Amino acid sequence: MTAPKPPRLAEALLGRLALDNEPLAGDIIEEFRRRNSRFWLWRQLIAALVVQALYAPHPPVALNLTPTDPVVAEWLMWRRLTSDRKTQVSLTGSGVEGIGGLTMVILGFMMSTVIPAIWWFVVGGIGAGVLLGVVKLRARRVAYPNTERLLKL
Amino acid sequence: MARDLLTDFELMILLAILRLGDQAYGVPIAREIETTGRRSVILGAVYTALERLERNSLVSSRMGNPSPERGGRAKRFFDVTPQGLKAVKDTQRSLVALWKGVAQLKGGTV
Repeated sequence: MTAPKPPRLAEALLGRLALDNEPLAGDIIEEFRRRNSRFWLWRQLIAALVVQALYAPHPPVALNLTPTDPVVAEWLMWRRLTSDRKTQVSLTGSGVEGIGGLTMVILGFMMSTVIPAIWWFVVGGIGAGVLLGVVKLRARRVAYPNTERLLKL
Repeated sequence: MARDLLTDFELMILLAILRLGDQAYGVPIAREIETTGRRSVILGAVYTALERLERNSLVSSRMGNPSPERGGRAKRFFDVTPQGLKAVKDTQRSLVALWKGVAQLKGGTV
């Protein structure tokens, strides 16, 4: 009798899980082959991915600016290469060069006059961002219970 | 300061590791808790608790060799440290002390 094989999607997700926790992925495969239950496999796999995403210890970083796309990478590289220029202090309230406070005001005015309904998306986006931040912070506090105390010192 | 007493799940995991001896890795630990503790177990939750216990120096772990029945993935074996054993004993002592003198619990198990 051949051992049951997990579905392709589950295999791909197990491969992703194995990058963070190889023994857990191996345990799920081993137990799936014994039980031969797809329901059990999906339940364990989804729970493992959620638990891994929320509670896996990620070292706390002050600002996680990762050049995930070429445009951002190029911009960061340009900043690094042109480091001999005088240090500029942004007085516009924006950390992104080229987009200052006035641009934001104009953008807000145009959005309000042309498509006011878009503000719901903006507010929704801000709300979702804050909610995601709170969830991530809570997960990080659980993973690193002493971090807050250390930061106070 | 780390907590002195263990949660019920942490206690079950430590007892399962002690029962299994040198063959304690994720699958048998979960099976032991399912059979003796009569509760269904999520393997991811077992690992999260094990990692927390390892951070608190209550267990230690070592990697095994990859095997084909696990899709070529290695096992991670766990051992209870002396601090872990002490934490189990302290928790047992506290629970037994709480048990004593409870009138409703006299006359055997339910």
